[in-house]
Amino acid sequence: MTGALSPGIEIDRVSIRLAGREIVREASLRVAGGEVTYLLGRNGAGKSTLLRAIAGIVPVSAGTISVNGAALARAPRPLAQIGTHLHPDGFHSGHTGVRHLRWLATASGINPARVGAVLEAVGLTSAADRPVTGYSLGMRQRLGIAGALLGDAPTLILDEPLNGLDIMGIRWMRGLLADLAADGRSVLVASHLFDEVRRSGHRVAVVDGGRIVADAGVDEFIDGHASLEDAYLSTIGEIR
Amino acid sequence: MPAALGQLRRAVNAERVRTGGRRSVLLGVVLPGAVLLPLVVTVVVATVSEHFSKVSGDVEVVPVGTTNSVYWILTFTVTVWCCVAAYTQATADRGDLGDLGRILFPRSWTGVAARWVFYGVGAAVCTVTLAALTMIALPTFYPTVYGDVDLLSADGLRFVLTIPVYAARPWEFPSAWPRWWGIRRRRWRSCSAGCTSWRTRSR
Repeated sequence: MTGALSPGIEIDRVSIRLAGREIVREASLRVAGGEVTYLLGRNGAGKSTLLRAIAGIVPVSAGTISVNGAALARAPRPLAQIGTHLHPDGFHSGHTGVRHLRWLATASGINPARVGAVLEAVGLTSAADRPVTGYSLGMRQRLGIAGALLGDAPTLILDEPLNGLDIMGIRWMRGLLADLAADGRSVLVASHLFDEVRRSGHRVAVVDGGRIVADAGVDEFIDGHASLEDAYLSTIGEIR
Repeated sequence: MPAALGQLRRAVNAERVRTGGRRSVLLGVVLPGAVLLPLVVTVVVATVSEHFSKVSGDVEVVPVGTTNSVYWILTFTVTVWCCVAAYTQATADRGDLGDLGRILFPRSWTGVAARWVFYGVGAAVCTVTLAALTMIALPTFYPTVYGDVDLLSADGLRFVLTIPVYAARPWEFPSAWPRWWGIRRRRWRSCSAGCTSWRTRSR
């Protein structure tokens, strides 16, 4: 892990307004080092917008976001601060897997020697020289995750990284998240796959209508409900 | 400022990596369109002119001066580089790549400036090299029509000095301008909205 940064994300009363509409309202959340925190919520609840704001893509209209104890805005090497995987299709169409990662490493000031290591870590070494346009969704997810791991960042944000992964990929991802947390990194994952939240998450935060309506440890969140799903549906007011 | 320049340097290097590989736009478009095409056209025109100049008849071939000798280089090479620059700028933020670009280069001008530097320098070096080689080769191989062409004449040296400026000028980078204009317009709107709000409050 890079340097002596203390991993973590601090979101303090953040509001985000896009095209005249308030997408996120006074959201506060703390993602600590050594934990995998899952961000849950319905489609359009504001999860991806919040992740994009943490990555510095979307400006906040109120509140503050700090990553590893400092504002991310205009960090000289953003990918060394926060590894991000937000879309499974963020590639130049003419690139191979290895060229995409080399481009990413060069643009971020990261040693290109890490490219081989992250390709091996995500299991794409044999497909590295193939054009990304021929990759399956699962392979594109793995390549995106490789990009997030490239900077050896203490904090990672992943937006629905399990979509399209086969059962081997899901098991691999579970192991990767556990390793990242064991390494002291803070990981924030948006997902709808509750079984994986139960298996690999330490905490959950629920976003509903742009607000964070719950933020607790997984066991504490489930306490008093039959399952994680029931706890979630109860939290967003779909069942009583 | 040093951080901004460091990001610009990385963005130029990233553009170099982006355009590499087997499906490189430099190999697929620049080499045939900006290098081979103007050279072939120049050679064909020179060969035909030289041939007709030696055939006795009604057709008169006027000797070509230095100023007209690199016409096809200036036409094709600069235009093709310009199209390549416009294409790479237009596809830089296509689809989901836009988010990645904003993470890598938080300043909106970094990517645009990097592409201008990379393709501008490429166009300048390519055009001036081809022009110089053409002004050396034409009088050697086609002395009847192109015997007056001279790289070291005033016109030749003027070309060598001005062609790089012509090839790399920022207004040869058309697709960048709508984005710049968009940024400026948003800032102007914010500024005018702020002034209006201040004036309203102060009344």
